[in-house]
Amino acid sequence: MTINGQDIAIKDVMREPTIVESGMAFRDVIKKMIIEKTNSLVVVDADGVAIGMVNPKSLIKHVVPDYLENDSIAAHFATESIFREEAAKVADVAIEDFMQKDISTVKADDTLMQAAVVALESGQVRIPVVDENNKPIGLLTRTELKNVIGAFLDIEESFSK
Amino acid sequence: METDIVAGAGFGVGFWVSIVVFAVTFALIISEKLHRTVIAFFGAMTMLIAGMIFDFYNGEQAISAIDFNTIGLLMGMMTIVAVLETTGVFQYLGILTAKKTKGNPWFLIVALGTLTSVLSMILDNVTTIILIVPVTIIIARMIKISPLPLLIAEAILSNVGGTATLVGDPPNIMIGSVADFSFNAFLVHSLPVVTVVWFVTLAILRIVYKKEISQQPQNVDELMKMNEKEAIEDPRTLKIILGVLALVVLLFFVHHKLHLQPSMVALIGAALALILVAPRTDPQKIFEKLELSVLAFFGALFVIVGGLEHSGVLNYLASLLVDGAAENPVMTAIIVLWASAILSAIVDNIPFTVAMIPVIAFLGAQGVDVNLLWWALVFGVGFGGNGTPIGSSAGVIVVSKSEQTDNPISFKEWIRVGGTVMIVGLLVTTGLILLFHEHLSNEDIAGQCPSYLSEPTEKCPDAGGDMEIKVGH
Repeated sequence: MTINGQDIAIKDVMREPTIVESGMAFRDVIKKMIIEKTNSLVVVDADGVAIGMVNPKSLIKHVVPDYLENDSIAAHFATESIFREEAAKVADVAIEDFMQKDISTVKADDTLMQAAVVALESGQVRIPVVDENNKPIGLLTRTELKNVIGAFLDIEESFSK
Repeated sequence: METDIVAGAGFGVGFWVSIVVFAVTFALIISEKLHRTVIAFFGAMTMLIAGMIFDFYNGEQAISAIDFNTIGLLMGMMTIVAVLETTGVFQYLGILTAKKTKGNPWFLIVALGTLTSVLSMILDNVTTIILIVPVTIIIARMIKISPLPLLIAEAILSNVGGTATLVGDPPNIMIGSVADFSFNAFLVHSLPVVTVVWFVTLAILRIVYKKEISQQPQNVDELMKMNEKEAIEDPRTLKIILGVLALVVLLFFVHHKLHLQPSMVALIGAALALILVAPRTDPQKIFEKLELSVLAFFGALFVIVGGLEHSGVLNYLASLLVDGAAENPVMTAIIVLWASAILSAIVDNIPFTVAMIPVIAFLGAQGVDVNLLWWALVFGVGFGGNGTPIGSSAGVIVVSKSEQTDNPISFKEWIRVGGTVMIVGLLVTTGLILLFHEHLSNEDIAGQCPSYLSEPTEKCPDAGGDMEIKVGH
């Protein structure tokens, strides 16, 4: 991919998405993320259509009980054993119950600026790239968007693995 | 004046139209299919337009129907609380109180219940509950006892405590505003009744949670090791806001003598809080915590009920009740008490209060001694909220927060405890009304110059002349 003088599109910079099917348990989800060293999973239904995403925030949010979510002062006094117990409680919960639904996506031929604005608007830093049937074919993360900006500024190391 | 009122109760088209608009709007609010603020706002505008078409209501009257004393008081207190809740003082007090009990489950119910009651007397119940519940659950888990009796006790006693004061509950603010009851009038009339009901409530909790109370707390040393001072993140803000709050409470005690409306007191406090805590920051972030949706809901209700008032409906209703109420004031008060309690347990108590206020005010305008009725309404809507988990905001919050604990509060469990508390509380209140109705009707302390006085009295030479039920006179 040449950058100077040539247009770069989403399909040129997107990475391979890590796709999981619905029904996966919390424990297996977190295991997959740890083993594959990824912070984002795209969840698909039986037809392969993207229905949600999981990132570390979804995991944390599901472990923290509702009554502590908005009270960092009270959480200061919650012991480690509470955290451990809460994690154990959710180990078998299916991915549909804690994934982020209503995700924003982009298409492969959308512009990079559009992807950047979608990232800002949705507050979602990882944007799945989908085909016309809403099946995931790629993923844009902060890294890709950062590298795009780096490339625009002629920083050679951009996109070097 | 009296003849004017009765003559005003005509049966024109406006009379019926206003009833239809009111009934449809309130039915939709109660059904909870649409958001209550949205439907009330729409209903208010419909009432106003209908009033202009059928010539019973206009924009000016709609504006003056809004009780800005209530709205202002809520806004002022919400601003103070918005600053207060970030300081960690609620969590500090929760932990400090819990430590004093050394983990004894019964003492915890009493201590945390007392704390929420006292806080709810000045601050709004919802904030108090939202901030006390998380520490309560943490403490209960730490010492391995069920948080359920603690949470139910906190919500119920918060509702009971809020009934005691002028600023404890929105219905009290509204009633106090129209009846011209001062902060001290509540302390003299409502607080004693609430105190009796409070002890009775505690006794009921002791009986129904006999088994839970006998649980042996574990890891008590962990509880004792909690350092409540760590909850205070910003001592400077805390000192300022507590100072402001102390001044506000002090002003509440003397607001009548200074001719300051309660809303003025709260707004003075809010202004001081803003200028002392963060004078250079845009207060938008604090104002976002003011529940504009709630305030708009109240405002819309005032406009809707104002339409009903101007079309002559409420005044007609009052004329139907006037003979009975004048002949048997104690019986009328007891009916008001039970009817308002049962309705408040099932539906939102605010719309009911807003509709009930002008009816009682009209009775007052026709010479009925209504002081006792006002207090009956205060107790009814206050204690009625405990009957079901949906009867009060505090109950709704506690039930939802308990869902992620090991002992979620079921509807049935709430009815078993809250229903008992409500019925016994009402029986006790009925007894107190029968015994002390003369004290409760005492005009020297309460109802100095209510806005509905039809003619000047010795104490209120400026009263009368204008039959509109205006507040902020």
